[in-house]
Amino acid sequence: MDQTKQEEEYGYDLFPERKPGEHKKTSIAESLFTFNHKCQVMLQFAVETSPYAKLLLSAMKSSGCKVFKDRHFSCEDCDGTVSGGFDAASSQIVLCQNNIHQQSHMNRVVTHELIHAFDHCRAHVDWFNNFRHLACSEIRAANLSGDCSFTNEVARFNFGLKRHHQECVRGRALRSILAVRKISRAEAEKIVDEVFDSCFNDHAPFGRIPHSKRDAKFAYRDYMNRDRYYANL
Amino acid sequence: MDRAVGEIAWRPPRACEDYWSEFRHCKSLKNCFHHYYTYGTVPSCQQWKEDYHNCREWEKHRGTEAKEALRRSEKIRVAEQRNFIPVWQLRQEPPRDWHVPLNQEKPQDS
Repeated sequence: MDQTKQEEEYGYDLFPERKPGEHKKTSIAESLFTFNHKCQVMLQFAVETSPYAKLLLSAMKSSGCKVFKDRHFSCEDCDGTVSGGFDAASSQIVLCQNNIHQQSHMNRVVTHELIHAFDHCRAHVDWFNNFRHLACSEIRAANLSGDCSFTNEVARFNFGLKRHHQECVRGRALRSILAVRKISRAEAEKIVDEVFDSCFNDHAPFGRIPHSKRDAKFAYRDYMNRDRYYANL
Repeated sequence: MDRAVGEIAWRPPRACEDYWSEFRHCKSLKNCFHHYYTYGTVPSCQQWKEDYHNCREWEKHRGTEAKEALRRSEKIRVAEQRNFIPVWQLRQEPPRDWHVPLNQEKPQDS
């Protein structure tokens, strides 16, 4: 298959540094004084302190997909306003160092992409050919990562209250699909509608929709307690 | 450590303080807001309080009623979390290439 066509069809053109077969090496100067360094520092902080990230990393380890920062995360320059991505072909989470400038944003992107990685790890997700699978993972990521919190939506000037979370999840899932696949908006909307109820209610590994750090901490507590929990049901 | 079913004494699925903290969290203004923002309704928190009382009750008197009430309540919670038809098939094993080093990756091998 023509490489350019493949890159465009699967959204790889948004991530120009992801050329198959190449492994980028950085100089010491690049390591210390650039967006790359800042990205690495924020990533480290996120995996150490975010209860969302800690829970996902534990769950992935339990599922046999232990995450190694150097192997499974990559800070890169990306096109446009995209913040990150999950590359199933290389089992890597891409963080867009040129578009993530705040720790809270990094925490959210790491959580979002870890949800994709978690889905990849625990299920046979056909990222490239099955749009329902792609839509499902995007719905889950938008739902569970805090992407659609009230404050984040207000910051985007999307003002809504009653059940607005669901509208936001639909909208963001749609956007994510349209960004990486060449299908019509109508087709994408239809697919999102088909899988929405199922995927919106799949809260693994959190066991709840974590709306706040408190929710995420409680979810993490439950996860750490799962052996006792299931043994005594 | 040997763990045959029935040999380990039963205890509540969660520590009693956890039920109470879940109840307090459920009733908080922030949580009510988030619930309304997500589902359009106010959450119902009474079950957490009942579970807490059953938990304490069991701790004091080790009664079967309290134990069964707790188990019933938690089973309903588990069922609620599983109340959907999955879109995909779950794996029996993790993906083969998860740990394969990067420079040895072959493109599009899956």
